[in-house]
Amino acid sequence: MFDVIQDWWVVVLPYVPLLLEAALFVLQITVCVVLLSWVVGLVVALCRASGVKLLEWPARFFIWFIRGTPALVQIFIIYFGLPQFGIKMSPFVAGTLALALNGGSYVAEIIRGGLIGIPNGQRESALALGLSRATAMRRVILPQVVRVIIPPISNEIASSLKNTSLLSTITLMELTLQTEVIVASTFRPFEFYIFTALIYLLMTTTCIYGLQIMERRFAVRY
Amino acid sequence: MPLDPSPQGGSSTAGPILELSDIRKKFGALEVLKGVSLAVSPGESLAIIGASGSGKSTLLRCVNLFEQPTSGQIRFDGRDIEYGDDLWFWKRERILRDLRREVGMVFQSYNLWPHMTVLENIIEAPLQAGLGRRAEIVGKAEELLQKIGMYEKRNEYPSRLSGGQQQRVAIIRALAMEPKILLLDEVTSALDPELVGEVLELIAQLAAEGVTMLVVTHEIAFARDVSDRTIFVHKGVIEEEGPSAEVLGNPGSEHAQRFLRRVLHPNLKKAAGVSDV
Ligand SMILES: Nc1ncnc2c1ncn2[C@@H]1O[C@H](COP(=O)(O)OP(=O)(O)OP(=O)(O)O)[C@@H](O)[C@H]1O
Ligand SMILES: [Mg+2]
Repeated sequence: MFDVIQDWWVVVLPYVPLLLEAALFVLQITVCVVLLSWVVGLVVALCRASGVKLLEWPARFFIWFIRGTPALVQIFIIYFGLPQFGIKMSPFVAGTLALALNGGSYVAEIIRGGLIGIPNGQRESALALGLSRATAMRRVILPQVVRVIIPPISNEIASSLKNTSLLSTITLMELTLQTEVIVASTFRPFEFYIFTALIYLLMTTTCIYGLQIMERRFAVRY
Repeated sequence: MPLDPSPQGGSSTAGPILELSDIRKKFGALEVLKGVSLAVSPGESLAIIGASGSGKSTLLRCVNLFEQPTSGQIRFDGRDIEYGDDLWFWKRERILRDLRREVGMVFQSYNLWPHMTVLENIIEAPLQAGLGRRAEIVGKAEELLQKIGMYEKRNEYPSRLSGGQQQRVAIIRALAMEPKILLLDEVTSALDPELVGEVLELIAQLAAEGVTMLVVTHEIAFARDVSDRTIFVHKGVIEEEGPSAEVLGNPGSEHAQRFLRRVLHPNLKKAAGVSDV
């Protein structure tokens, strides 16, 4: 057993800096994707809940389309498909955009669930005091929504992080593609894929637990 | 010292502060208000009583346009309030917001905002409306809190308060906007019986200080002792209207008599075989 692990290290060690660099890149992509997906999600959720048909239906269609199609196909549509219409993006931009739209549809549904959970009296009392609808949303409703959606949102962040591996298919040198490249020259797929899996695991676990700790700090407030 | 900072502050007319003319409201085919007319003078407190489903809440909600009347006229503080689907979105939003800044409303379920402290709950709307500088608004809020004996609770979250305390905070939260009229919809109905008194006391105090209000209530004794006038609503129509002592002591309409008998002697209901009024 010890020998196996030692052997493993001997194989993997020289490539660790390269892999960690790729992991850092994964984190960078994830941060961009997550921030953008919150914007997308918030806009779509507010449209969906607006009660205005002209906003509601496009939002519904968006959610239906994104949730009903594979993320990989969405990435291909944006990276390979859009250039046909002259919209050409770098793999990084196309990939980030595709994953943000994908994540956004899930974030939208999470926010919508949170909105539904807030009693209508909260909104009515805000409007009754002369707050505009937008102010009522911003000051009264959303702060309450934020608290209940932290757990599902942290899972969604972990999903976005894992989904960045799909970007290996559009030549983005992130962790998965970097591992593939190394495997191609070392012929040690087991060692490298396990090691890469461990790196992913470390990142997703940190993000989920980090947010849980944040949630607990919010929770003591009321 | 009056509890309301300015009971009828700056009312621009000598006439009624609120005048409803022939208000009708339909929900689909169901006509809930069938031509209600009503005038409220500044400083007056008016009780609205009636059986469940008679349209009391709908009537109150028409005043601050939580419900849009199907037809009829609302005159508030000397101006006709425009409503209707033909209004341009932003204009409509502004009309609603401006109206609601001057029409306070408190609900059966207190609806304090759980993520804000008591003080934050009270100052939020005045701050958003730009009623003054922050320090002034906080000062006024603290004054209001002192008067209901809850200054020490200013930094507590609502979940730490009793129902009676929450409802009293909800009332002064509405007062902090210095409304020209206050709408109260069964504000004691969700409270444990032993907490009803403190809330009614506060409302009585406000009435005595000249706060104009429309109070939907099931507390007949309260209506009799506190409100200047009482209105009895039956199936979307005002069937009785007059000084509270008269309406409650000697109502003319059969429905009002039966309603009062039932709420004053609920235990006789079965024995007397009183059907739904
Ligand atoms: N948004 C709505 N849509 C459809 N029907 C409604 C709506 N709001 C109220 N109604 C109906 O209008 C009627 C009057 O309701 P309202 O709440 O005004 O009565 P109420 O006198 O306040 O009764 P309660 O004493 O039970 O509060 C009821 O039959 C109710 O079902
Ligand atoms: Mg009601």
